[in-house]
Amino acid sequence: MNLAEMVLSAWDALRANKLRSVLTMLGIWIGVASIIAIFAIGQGGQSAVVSVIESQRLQRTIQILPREWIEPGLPQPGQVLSISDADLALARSFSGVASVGYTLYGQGPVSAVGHTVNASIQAGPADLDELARFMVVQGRMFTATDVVAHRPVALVSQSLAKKLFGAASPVGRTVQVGGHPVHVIGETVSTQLGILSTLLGADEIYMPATTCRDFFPWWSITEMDVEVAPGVDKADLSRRLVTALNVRAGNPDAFVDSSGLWTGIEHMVDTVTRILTWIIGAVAGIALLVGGVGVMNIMLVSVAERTQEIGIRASIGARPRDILAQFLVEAVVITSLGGVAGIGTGIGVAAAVRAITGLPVGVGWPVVIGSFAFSAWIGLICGLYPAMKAARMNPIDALRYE
Amino acid sequence: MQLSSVFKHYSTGAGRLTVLRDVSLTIAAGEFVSVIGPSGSGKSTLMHILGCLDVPSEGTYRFQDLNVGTLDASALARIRNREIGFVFQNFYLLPRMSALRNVELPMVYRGVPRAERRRRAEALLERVGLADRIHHLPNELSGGQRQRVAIARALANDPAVILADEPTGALDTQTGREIMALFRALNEQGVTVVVITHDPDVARTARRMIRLVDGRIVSDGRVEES
Ligand SMILES: Nc1ncnc2c1ncn2[C@@H]1O[C@H](COP(=O)(O)OP(=O)(O)OP(=O)(O)O)[C@@H](O)[C@H]1O
Ligand SMILES: [Mg+2]
Repeated sequence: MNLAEMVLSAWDALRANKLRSVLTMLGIWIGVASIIAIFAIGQGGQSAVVSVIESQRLQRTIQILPREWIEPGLPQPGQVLSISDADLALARSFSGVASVGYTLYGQGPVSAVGHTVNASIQAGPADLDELARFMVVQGRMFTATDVVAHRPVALVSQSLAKKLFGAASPVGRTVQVGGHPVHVIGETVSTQLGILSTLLGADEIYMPATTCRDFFPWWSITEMDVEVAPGVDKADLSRRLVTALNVRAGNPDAFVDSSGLWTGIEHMVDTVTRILTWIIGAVAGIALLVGGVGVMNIMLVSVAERTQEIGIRASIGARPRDILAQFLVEAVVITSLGGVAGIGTGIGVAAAVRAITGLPVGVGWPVVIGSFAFSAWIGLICGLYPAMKAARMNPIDALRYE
Repeated sequence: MQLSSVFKHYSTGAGRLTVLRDVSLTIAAGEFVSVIGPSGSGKSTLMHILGCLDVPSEGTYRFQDLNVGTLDASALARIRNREIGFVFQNFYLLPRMSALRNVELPMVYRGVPRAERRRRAEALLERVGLADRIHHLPNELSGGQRQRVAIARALANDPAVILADEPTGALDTQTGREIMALFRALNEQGVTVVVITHDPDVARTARRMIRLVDGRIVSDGRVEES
């Protein structure tokens, strides 16, 4: 009997017991669907985090902050809370420094068409998107020229845009920031910490550092972004720079390089996502195992129920291996169908997650093919024992079985 | 087909049960034999051994010069597939398959190509008078029609031997007669036919009658033409 025929007759046998077949499939179905969805989401989250860590610009940037911003303590003599223009000038004078920018951060009212939202305002150089870890989904990032020219332009986060303009695009609209009209040139989503911040959906507005200083001259500069020239040892330069700034402030703990800190957090998030992926993956694996045991159980029932059929087939010339193949193919067809349904569901879930969170969630071919092969393999393994039981039956006993 | 001193024992809860005692028997190619005897005398057991579905506990059985006791399950299956056609009292058709597919099945196990299989199954069903019922399921057929399907299936691989266990048991006299006429026609074409029955009228259709009582052959002789 050839394979196509065996698959067809297995299909007939499964159709004869539709509900039971579907219920049997369910374990494999759910297991495969969750594995697919979880790996897609896990990988999507990871690649979002990793792409930030690996961004070229961040690799070459030293982010210096007053230590007080990271580890707040009691007011002390010599305490430094902000970065001054003199600090920036000092950094610019170092050899090996390609450029020095700064970022500002504060809270302020942002309003448009009658809505006012208290948003967090971040301002910085033209590569603020990388420093502050967001990406432009619509419109454009502001340029170095915008920064130099003090242009009143800004980008708003998706969440803020929704609150101000509803479903309409914010790009091309005007908002009031601290009472000043600002032209919205782009819409952003955060790439920071993967899925978490996306779900939290912070209300952010980003603009050139120069413009922001014009609006809020009383705000202090909280971060200095030093771009390291190619070929210069970043860690060494960072150490020398922080020491020089500390000496100038007369406080050995005044400043700190936070880029390592960021990377640390992101590594941690990366590790946590990875561990979570594996834990949930293991749970899904157990679901598959339970599904497989279910398939085995039903195949045993089916073999017992069809004892007489086995006897009839044997009497007209089915060899033990024909009987074995028949039940094996049936088990593999069940689990493969479950696998296909699971792959479909998993892809659906992944697509839904992408639509909701905007994470780069995708299901790769290797995962699809792997899951399919795996579910077929479960059928083979779990069908083997029942099929062997069927094949070993004595024809006459099977035939006489009532 | 040759049985020499065949015994068949079963171990039951009440101890050992001997169903066939010292049965020696030779059936030549082309014979038409009936086996008759009271219920429980071991007729079906004998047929299962003749049909390579079961093996003797003692003694030897040679089928076409092969010692059946030395063959493995696959070799026995091959003999059943190609050389033997069974017709059972309760038909033993596969309930989920149409008449046509039931008849095709022995050819499926033999590896006959699909188109040829289909053509031959249709021809066989036509020959047993069921040309208009080929797509019916067994439970959509009458007893006599089911028995005809079973006969068509038994003939699928052109067997040397047809073994029929009470083929008319579930049928009325008229239908039973038609079925026996079919066997007779087959025998005239050279097929060896062994029919098991407890009905003397049916048994007389054959050319040779073997009487079995309590697992022993008590008579074996030609049937006079009436
Ligand atoms: N698997 C078995 N285990 C135990 N005893 C069996 C088994 N198969 C058959 N027997 C016994 O063997 C005896 C003969 O059975 P068999 O079926 O050959 O009789 P039979 O002549 O065909 O009877 P009937 O005309 O009623 O069909 C019976 O007493 C039966 O109980
Ligand atoms: Mg019987």
